[in-house]
Amino acid sequence: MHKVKIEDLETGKVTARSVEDHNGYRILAKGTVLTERQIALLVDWKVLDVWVEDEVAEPDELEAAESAEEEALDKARERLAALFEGRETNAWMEALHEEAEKRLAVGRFWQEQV
Amino acid sequence: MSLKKAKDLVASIEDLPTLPEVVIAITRLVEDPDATAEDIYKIVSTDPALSATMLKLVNSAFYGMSRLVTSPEQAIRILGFVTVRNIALAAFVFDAFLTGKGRFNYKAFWLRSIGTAAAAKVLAHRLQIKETAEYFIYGLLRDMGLILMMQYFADELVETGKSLEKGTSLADAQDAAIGCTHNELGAALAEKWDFPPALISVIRYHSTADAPEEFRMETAVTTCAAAVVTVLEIGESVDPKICVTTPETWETAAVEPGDLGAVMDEVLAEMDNSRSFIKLIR
Repeated sequence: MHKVKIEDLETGKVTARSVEDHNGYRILAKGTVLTERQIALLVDWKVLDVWVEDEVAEPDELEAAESAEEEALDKARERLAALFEGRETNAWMEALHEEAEKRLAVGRFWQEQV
Repeated sequence: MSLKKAKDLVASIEDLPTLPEVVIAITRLVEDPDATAEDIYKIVSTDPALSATMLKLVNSAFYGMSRLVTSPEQAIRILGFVTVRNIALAAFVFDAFLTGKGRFNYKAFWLRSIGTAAAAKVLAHRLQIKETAEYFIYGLLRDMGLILMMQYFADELVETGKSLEKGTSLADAQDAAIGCTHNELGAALAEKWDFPPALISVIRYHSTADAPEEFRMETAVTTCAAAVVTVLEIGESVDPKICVTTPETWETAAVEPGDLGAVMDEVLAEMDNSRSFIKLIR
């Protein structure tokens, strides 16, 4: 395994250790195949570098990780839509929906910490 | 819906936690014009567990603290007696109901409550309200009645869930199950424990249309806070649908639709600030 700076991270790399932020909160588990979204997440959490395996994931492993991600996001989108179903709407309710769509699955991060 | 019914229900609970001596003593001191910070400190230090929770709460509740508050004496010096009392109350409720009889997800409940607290703090700060700590507490304890239902009226809460699935409103479902809403149940307990009036109001009224004029701002802020936390899926609510927040509510809290993205980001940043408090939930 070797350490890679965040700016040099590429999709398909696999984490060799769990990735934590400066407060010790776990962001990614060991053995995670890095997708674009996950790298973006690490940037958001201001992670500076990541320990990765020397071997890169197979293309179909990366694809599987990306599909799983898409599926999770689709489910999150559906749950969000269900919250509003049949409810009266107004400009704020619509904005709540729209802005939450841009920030899907963020609550799950907190759920996983407790 | 009936507050009287709620009071009867609260009175019927046999193993309700008792208000700790510390909280009762601080309340007395708050009303004593000769009381000093030293007096309050002496009382708080008799309950190390409570003061530990209080410290974590303090560090989450204050906006933009440049240093962590690390000791009860420091907290008392910075906060003022009334806030110390309210923090003690909140810490007590949190500790008393942190876990409970198995059926419900207490962690998800408290995560949502902390999220609502963080969001209320953010919204209060945007309104340039100085007492962000008070708003943090309002957000934290707003749904206290739910935890009462989880602890003491579990079967009825399950019944409520079934009605909700059929499309009944939360208030109607709860009323059918126990004869009052969780707001009223929480408010009845809050009154019994002598909570400050603003906090009782925030627990009882979850819509600005119902809230007394005096506490409309507190209700508006905490209601908007709950809506933001719901869409961000921080923790879990018993209601599968979002509560409709009216334009009037948002306008009272001075939030425009276009502000919501920024508000959400600030709330997420605030969650970050509440980490040591959130850690207590494990």
